[in-house]
Amino acid sequence: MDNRIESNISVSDLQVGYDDTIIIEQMNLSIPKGKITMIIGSNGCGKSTLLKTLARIITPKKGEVMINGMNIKKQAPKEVAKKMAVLPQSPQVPAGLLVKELVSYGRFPYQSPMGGLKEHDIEVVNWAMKSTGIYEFANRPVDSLSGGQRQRAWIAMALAQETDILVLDEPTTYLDMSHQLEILMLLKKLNEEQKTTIVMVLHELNNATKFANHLIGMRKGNVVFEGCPKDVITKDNLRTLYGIEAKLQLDESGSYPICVDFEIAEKKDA
Amino acid sequence: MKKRTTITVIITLLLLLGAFLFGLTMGTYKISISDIINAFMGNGTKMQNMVLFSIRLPRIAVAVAIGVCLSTAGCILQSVTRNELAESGIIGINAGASLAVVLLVSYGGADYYSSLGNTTLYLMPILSFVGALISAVLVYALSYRKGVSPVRLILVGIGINAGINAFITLYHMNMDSGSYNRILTWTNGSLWGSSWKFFYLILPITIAFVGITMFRSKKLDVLDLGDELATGLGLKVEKERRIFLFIAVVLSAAATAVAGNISFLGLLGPHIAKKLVGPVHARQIPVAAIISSIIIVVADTISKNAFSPLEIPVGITISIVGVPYFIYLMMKEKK
Repeated sequence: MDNRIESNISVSDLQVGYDDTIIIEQMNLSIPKGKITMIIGSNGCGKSTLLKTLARIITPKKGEVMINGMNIKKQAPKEVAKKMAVLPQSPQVPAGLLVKELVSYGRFPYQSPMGGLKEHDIEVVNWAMKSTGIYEFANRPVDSLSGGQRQRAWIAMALAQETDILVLDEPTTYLDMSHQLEILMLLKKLNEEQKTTIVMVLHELNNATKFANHLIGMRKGNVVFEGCPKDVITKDNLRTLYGIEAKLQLDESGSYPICVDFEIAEKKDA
Repeated sequence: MKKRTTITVIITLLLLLGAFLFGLTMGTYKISISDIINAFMGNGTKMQNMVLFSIRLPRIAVAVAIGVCLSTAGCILQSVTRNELAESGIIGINAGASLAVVLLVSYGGADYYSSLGNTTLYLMPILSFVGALISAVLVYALSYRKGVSPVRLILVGIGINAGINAFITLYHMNMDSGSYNRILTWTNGSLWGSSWKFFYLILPITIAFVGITMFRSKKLDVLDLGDELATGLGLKVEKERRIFLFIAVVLSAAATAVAGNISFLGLLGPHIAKKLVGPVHARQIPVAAIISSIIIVVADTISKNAFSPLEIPVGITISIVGVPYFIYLMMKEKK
């Protein structure tokens, strides 16, 4: 089934866990190329674990992660970094680091130890700052920015990596509604303009249905559904995923479902 | 930022020159600045030449080398542990090196320093390196639990530091009073008796390992972003962390072999540098090295002269400034 959709990331027979606890028992999955894929599920369902495994932060116990058809284990870390950029949840900023410096760190995989930034590096860094709308803050310390601006600076750093794939772990956490929307719109723009494959974990269901081309629902380390939001966001699926009784309706254009209200479902099974 | 860095480097270098002159003039035998210049032109009296070129200048040169070593080790440790408070003196690396040297001196011969044979002299940095490495590995292993948590590393380090110092005290008890006094001065960090010999000993290590650190400075930058992002950028985090720890251990051990346990110097220089030129290591490391050198040269001159003819260990003078700063950082960290 790996070949049915064109994908840049695929996992096969994946088993992931920490010490003795197995989080993901066995998983096969393909992430479609050039699309926005969002992984949803309740707390502790293993979605962040999956993302971290894709991003090489966790080494799987078994199974393979392939990027553009190549096993990530068999590639030099810097080579993988030229194909896939990773943005963890609430990363730390070294105090006093300027925005342009942070963004230029995204050029790390391309740089030699002694060489400074080359002309192309500077162009990419400037482009990344412009397309995320933080160019005007280039000379300000990252820790002086607001939450939304800071998140855009991180995204700019990931963009400076010039990759086909962008992996983000809850990029909208701690942001208010308008800033959440801003970040998601920015990612959508990048996806459309650069054809970047974007994979992210997201908590807000309605943002996920609105911005994702492809949704993956996870529960207890298993994929319970995947597909286009319109097809997979159903009352049944949401009951399985979150244990809620949801009221759903389509948006005005009829292209994506919205959860307008929900209640905790009566528990039939654990 | 480039302009600011250039200005900072020029100003701090001028200050270092000032510290140099301060160190060269001050002492029981005062030499005026014009006499110093004269002596450097080759027109000094015999006495001036002796004091300047055999006593004060080597001592200052050694001080600078130690400042550079400890400062660079501090820069590395703060990034590798992602902890503002990390420093080789605080987390027991220097103490490990001290213990090794104390053992060497207490078993190797009754006298110490200039009267030590050359074999002992060259054995010192090697043994202090082994001691430093053992304590570093111990700290690393004890604080390792699926990666090293910065806070645990500091706590374990402080514990190891206290433990090793207890051992050192134990050895002190078994010494005759002459060796005891000397070794006590030494373990508190002292430049007493520094000669060109020590400078030639520490210089190649300093140049080589600070050079390596500068060459790898971009990796340190990336490590600052945290393990996950560093991995994403293609850095082999755990491997790099070990390499950098090793470099920090070599640098701290070299400094400790020559001057004993000097704490806080690796904290002050890197912090002030970060405030001045930001956290990018290609700028921070050199500026921190210059600042640490200024601090140690000035502190040593004060240690030598404040209670003359008694000399207090330079490590204590630096701690008088370092401890309040450390507490300030701890309180800031809590927020």
